Amino acid sequence: MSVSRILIGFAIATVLGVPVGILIGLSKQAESFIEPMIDFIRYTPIPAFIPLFILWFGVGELEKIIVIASSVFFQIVLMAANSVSLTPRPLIESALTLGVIRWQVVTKVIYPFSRPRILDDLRVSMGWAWAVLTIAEIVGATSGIGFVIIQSQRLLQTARVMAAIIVVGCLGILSDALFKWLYRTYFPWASRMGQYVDA
Amino acid sequence: MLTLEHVTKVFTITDGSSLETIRDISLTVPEREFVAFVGPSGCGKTTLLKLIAGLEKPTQGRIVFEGRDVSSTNRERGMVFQEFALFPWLTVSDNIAFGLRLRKENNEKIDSVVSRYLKLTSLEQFKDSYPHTLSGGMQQRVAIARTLANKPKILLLDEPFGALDTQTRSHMQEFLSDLWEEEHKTVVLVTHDIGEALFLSDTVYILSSRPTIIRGKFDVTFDRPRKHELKFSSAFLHMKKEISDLF
Repeated sequence: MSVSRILIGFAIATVLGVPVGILIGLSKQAESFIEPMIDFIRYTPIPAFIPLFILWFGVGELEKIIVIASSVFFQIVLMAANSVSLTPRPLIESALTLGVIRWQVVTKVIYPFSRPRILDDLRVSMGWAWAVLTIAEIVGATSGIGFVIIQSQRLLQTARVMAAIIVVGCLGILSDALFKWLYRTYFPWASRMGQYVDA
Repeated sequence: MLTLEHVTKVFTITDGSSLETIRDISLTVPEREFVAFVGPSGCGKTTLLKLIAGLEKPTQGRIVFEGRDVSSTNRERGMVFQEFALFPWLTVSDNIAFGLRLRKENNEKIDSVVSRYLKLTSLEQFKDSYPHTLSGGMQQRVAIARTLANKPKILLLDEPFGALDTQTRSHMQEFLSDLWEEEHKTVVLVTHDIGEALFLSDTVYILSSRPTIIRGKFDVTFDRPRKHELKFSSAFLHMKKEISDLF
């Protein structure tokens, strides 16, 4: 239950957050305009919105997915924007003198270069998603790991609470391993990207 | 033919003050000539090259290439940077093929061009390697091949060997000299190394720093093809001394 909530919420946040992040990272104007707003929302604790979301969307699946998507979305936007802005200038300038024109800089240089970093941003955001989901399930749910935790607490089943926490930890390790595998498989060229960071 | 007419470049810094980098430079680079700009580090050499490439716009004056004003970048004017300019997600072959793929050339043409340049740069066995696995010298050979494979009308080289050790640098100079014999393109090289400029070019301009103006112009008439030994001849050393006195 928890896993499917995470996957759907995270997928929505990724699909919306990555393009927005890329756009913000590309343009200084967009950055100075949007970043303060995003910073504001990012620092407001999403768990504090959970009671509000419950009032608006009930305690069903929709509410959980919205909680995850909205909490991860802003993280992804900011991290993706930062990753995109790290593209070395000589890379962009070389492409321009090779015949790349304006908008193609994004598709031919900035996006392909930033992919591994963005994947890493997603990996970090995934940890955040697990924390928020657990809180959402503790506050109001009829299934899921958070629900198991709060229900076991009421019945003084400490061992079950511990077990649930360990399960979350294991799922975290699993998703982290999956991200790292994707990284190694799809971006073998990025294994020593350190040398490009300083440029 | 490339002509610079009274080119001046002034940068406005964030605090509102302005910095004059290049002052009133006029010169002509004839077709198929190898021209070098030599000057101390921190002078506006790179800016001059970026102006020619169209990456920067002159504050005053104009740059004309083959009868047309330079207003933006164009593949006619290919530029090779000092470092960090290969596409790290593409293999050596794909880096070289970048410009051709951009123009959607057919695969046969791409293959033949790529293999020609792999051969010229002696990088055949590394064709499927990613840039980060190559040495600095090999990376710069790929960068030069990538630009030449794109058939620019003029090749702009910004301290292409600046990040390499002395020995590799010397090899690369010979490589570039041989390549020039093969391709005979118009080249503008920017370097702080007088020996490198003399070894490679037909004309050497000496630039001063801040703002950059032309201090002197030398015609270099050593016979071609030039070999490493030239660097130790008395005529070469004499000229080198003459130029370094201007610095």
